[in-house]
Amino acid sequence: MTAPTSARTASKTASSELPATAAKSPKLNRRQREGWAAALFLAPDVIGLTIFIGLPMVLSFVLSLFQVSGFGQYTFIGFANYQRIFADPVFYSSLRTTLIYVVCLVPGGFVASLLLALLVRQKLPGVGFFRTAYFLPFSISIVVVALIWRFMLDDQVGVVNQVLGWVGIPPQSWLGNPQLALGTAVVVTIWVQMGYYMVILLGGLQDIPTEFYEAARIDGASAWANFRHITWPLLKPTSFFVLLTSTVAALTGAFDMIYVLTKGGPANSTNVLIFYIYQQAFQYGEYGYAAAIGTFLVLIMLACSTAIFVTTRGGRFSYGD
Amino acid sequence: MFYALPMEQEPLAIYYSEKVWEDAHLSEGDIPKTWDAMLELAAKLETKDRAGLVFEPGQGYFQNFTWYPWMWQGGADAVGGDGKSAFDTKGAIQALQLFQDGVVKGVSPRTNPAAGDLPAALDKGQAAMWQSGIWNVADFRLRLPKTRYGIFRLPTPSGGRYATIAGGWAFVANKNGRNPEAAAKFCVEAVGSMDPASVKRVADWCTVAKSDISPRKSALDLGTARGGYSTPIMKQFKDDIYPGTRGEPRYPPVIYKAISDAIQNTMLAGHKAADEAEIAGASIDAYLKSYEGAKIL
Repeated sequence: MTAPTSARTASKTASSELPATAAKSPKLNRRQREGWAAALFLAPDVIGLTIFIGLPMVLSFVLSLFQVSGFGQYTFIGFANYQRIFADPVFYSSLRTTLIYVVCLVPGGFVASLLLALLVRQKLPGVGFFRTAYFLPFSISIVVVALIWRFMLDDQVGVVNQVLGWVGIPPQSWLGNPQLALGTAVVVTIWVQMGYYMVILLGGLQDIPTEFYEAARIDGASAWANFRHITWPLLKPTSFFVLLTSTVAALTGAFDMIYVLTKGGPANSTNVLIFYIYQQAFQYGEYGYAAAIGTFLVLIMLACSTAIFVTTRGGRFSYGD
Repeated sequence: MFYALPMEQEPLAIYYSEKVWEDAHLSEGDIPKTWDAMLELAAKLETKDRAGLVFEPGQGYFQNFTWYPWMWQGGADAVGGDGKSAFDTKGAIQALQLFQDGVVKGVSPRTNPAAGDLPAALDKGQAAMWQSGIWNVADFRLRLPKTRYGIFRLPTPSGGRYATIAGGWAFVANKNGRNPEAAAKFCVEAVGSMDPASVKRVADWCTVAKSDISPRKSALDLGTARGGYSTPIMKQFKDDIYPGTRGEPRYPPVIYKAISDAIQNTMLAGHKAADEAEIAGASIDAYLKSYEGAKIL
């Protein structure tokens, strides 16, 4: 019984001191208070991005102006590393491979994810299980996924060739044939990522008011008409997000998959830019040149992001679109 | 720039599965001496589930390492004695052709069987023959001591001369380090002095911890006296395979990459060996014109 009394006393004391404390502190108007609140909310992200993204980018650009021996010797060479890029045939071949990879992966992954999202949006028994199952590959380490696929795609004993053999298709060297390796890497990457983008697109689909579909049903609209005139336009903001993030992921996130599956081979057929940067830095010891290619890749990424922003008007959509 | 002392040498040979050979009614007398005989034999031993002869297919330094001796056997080299490229020559072209022939004839796989695990592949019958190094002996000893396998010298092209290659790790001190003299002394004491402990350390490393040829005569003699080379395979590596060995060249990245692209494009992309040798030779020559480093061996 003493505790409430003490609490009341403490509360009374605190409230009696409050005006004095408040009088001492500088008064902030509403705009200033909101400014401070916004700064505090943004601070963790801004600090993290500055330390882990901004600063390394600046340092990488500075490094690209040097020739680095790998044993602590730095020689300033200006933009010579950038000039070297344009005279490097492997860079062009790698750039071409990267563009093919992105052009196949991003639309392919988007279509696969959208089809899955439309599928698991249906109210069917056990749909929760399928949603989980489709998402599961994304929750596993890329290295583990790639290793498992490497075993499944083995020329001699891989399950893929065995299954194809049952229908009379001769065994293929999925990772050893330059004409197949990049396509194989794209398919495996889509398989890994489609569950993740499915969840995002599913969220977008579920945000579409059901009244639109009910009205369309009363008007006798077909399933295709529903998709074309209701789902697709109202899903555009989500689609924009998926396309943007998957393009960035395709440009910069392919390293671990390619490293485990093919190590850039056969015959450079899967040597995407991010892997070529690794080769230059950590296999050839050309840190300055690798940093220059890295800067170039950032420019490509900025160009792609800008193109997506421009064509979609900055991701702002109206229902009239 | 560096002080370096080798601590091991690892020559390459061809491994084969004795069981596969016996099943095919082959004996030691059937060991091929020429490239043609080797490919012919591989074709006999190859099945749907078994590679006849594995040449390293993976793009990288290791593939180049395994390919160099085939080039040397024909008298070619990446860089000749005159400091110019000796790559666009018959020796290199026929070595590129050898790797392509293996794939085209269907006896050499485009990816490594058993995920590159040679002992497992020979044990499970997934490969009949495989070009690789002495380090596999320790692997067999540790993991698959009952697996029966043999080795033989790399066969030669007609008119060629036997050559193989040896890689291996070394103790290296950076000249630009904080105390290069102390680092160099440490390397010498560890693996290079005539102190009995130093000699024993190298012998132990090459015959107990691993299965390598010691780069030092004193350690090789000690290892031999202690029975480290008494098994038939190790004895064959020391007395038959190792003579004719050339150390792994340390080519600058541009030269390595030019040769790597030539091997990959010929072996796996089906390009003409002569064209690839010409492209690589020109690339090496262009690089050598402005090269100012140490002599390339």
